[in-house]
Amino acid sequence: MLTSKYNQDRAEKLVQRLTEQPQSSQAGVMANDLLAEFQLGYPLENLRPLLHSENPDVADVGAWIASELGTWGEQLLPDVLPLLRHPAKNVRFSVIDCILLWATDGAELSAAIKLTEDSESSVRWKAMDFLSLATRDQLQLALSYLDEVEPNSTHVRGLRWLLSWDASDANAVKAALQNENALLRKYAVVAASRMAKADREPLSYAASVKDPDVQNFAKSSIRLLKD
Amino acid sequence: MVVEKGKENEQIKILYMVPSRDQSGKFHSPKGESLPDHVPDEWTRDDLEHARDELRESIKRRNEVAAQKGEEAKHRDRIRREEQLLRQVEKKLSGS
Repeated sequence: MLTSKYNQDRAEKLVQRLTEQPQSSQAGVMANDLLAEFQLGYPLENLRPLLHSENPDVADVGAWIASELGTWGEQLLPDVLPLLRHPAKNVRFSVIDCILLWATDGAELSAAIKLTEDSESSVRWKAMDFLSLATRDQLQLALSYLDEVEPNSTHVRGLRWLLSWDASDANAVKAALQNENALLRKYAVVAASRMAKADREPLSYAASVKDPDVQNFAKSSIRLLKD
Repeated sequence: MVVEKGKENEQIKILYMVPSRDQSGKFHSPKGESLPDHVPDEWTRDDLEHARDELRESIKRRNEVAAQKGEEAKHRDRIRREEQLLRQVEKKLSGS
């Protein structure tokens, strides 16, 4: 049986200080110290005031801590889902990992996938990262949902292709990287990343494609593969 | 897993979990534990090697996230903590 090892007084003071001074020079250390308190059993409901704060810097701290909790933070899913539309890009970025670990239905998963079209390049990268790490079951759930509510969406085409045999065929992936549709090119580089442990060639090819998002994602995937 | 002798010399198996990366590629402690600030005494050589490999991959991914997202003090501090644990694990593996 797990026993609570957190320090209530310390945790409360950290919440207060981070709420009052989210950009202080010690905020990085304090956020990690507060994360440790949550990991030691400080009730997760105490993260909600940060997640729902109107101060974007405070919400950013809350979203980052949520993204570091791992699978056992899933009770916060209803709190983080609306943050996929938060005006602060770093909040949207952080909660994508929460969706990856906690989401259980197609609507939730497809909300993260749609951030491949976000206005911020960092968030688009993170959404592509989400697609590259999602299980086939998660991709299938998102496809089933979108096929029902938005059958004409390009995401339906992209997800269906990503789940097809073509998405693990090097030549088919390289051809898809030349697609005229920018969103479908993103699905192609995700496919190249997903198959890279077996065959890196499509990813190397993607790194030379003249599409900044595709090229950046391919290069970052190559860096992550290196020892 | 640790195996200890009980009062009657019976074997008592004490289960523990070595932190690992999750689906997002980040190193996490099991529920109820924070990131260790020192190498737990019960970790075996296999545990140390597992933790070393997981930490290396986690740190690599976190550095890539920092490159894409932009530098953040909280993320940088997390990397610092994982690097510190990795150094301790590597030191223990080297026998020094």
